[in-house]
Amino acid sequence: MESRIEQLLTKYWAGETSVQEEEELKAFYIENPSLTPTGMYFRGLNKEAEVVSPKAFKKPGSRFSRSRFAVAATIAIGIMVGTMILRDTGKKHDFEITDPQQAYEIAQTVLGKMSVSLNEAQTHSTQLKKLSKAEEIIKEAQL
Amino acid sequence: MSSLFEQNVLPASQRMYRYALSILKDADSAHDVVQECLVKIWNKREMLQKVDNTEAWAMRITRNQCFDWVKTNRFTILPREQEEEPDQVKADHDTLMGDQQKWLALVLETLPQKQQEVFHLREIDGMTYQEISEILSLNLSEVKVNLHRARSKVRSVLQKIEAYGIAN
Repeated sequence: MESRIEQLLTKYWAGETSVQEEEELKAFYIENPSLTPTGMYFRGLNKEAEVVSPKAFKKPGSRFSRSRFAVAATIAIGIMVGTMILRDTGKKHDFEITDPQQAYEIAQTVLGKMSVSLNEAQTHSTQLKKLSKAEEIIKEAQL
Repeated sequence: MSSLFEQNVLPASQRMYRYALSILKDADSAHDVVQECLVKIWNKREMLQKVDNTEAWAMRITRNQCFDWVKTNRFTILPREQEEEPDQVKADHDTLMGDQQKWLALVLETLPQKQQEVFHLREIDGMTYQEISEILSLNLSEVKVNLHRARSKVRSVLQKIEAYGIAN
């Protein structure tokens, strides 16, 4: 084994080794951690090859889905609320409102609450769209 | 097209990062450059079908982007030894012998830019001569000459360490 490594080293310094033979040299010095400078050198190369970015890379294109997600979420919430209201109207309740004025006031309160919720959802959606647009502009400016 | 990107380009992103880091010597800048490269390649993803060696192509884009980054950001590439105290580092034999990566980095920084790049692509990333020639736009013999010179320099430093216990 030692003579094989000696041969490979001679070839290596002469620039005649293949990628596979160079991998063999690295593997030998990793398995046999000698304190010789040559051993340190090959282990150093291997360590350099293991360096990775501390931050993950974002897959391009995924940033556009954020606004789509917001729109889809708003629609889904709207459908859910609508279904609940429709289901609720079909039920027979223990109480009955006969006074038109009282019914009007209750309906006004419910619609007011729904309107606030929808406005909030719309504001969030607009903000997300603006953020997405700003990101695109920055990206284009950098390119 | 999108699957070609996912299969061939995304897995090479760490290799692209190491290459960018070897040129820029700054982790944050290297990360930003690679992220920009991924966006560029994504925008040109219809070309992926026509490219023979996607990884070499991505590495070439990374290289160009690194040098553009240096130009547009007026970025100065500082050798790692300038961030420290070179005399102290060189004089401290234990530091050199104890930290393999620092030792190797110090030797590589004494090499000309082209030799550093050829050395990195071959020795760190295990690329073939053909791939290196495509990335750096060199012919095969130029790649071999640059690699041989870089290895000769490394070898002479190794021999000095072996003989005197220190790299001069």
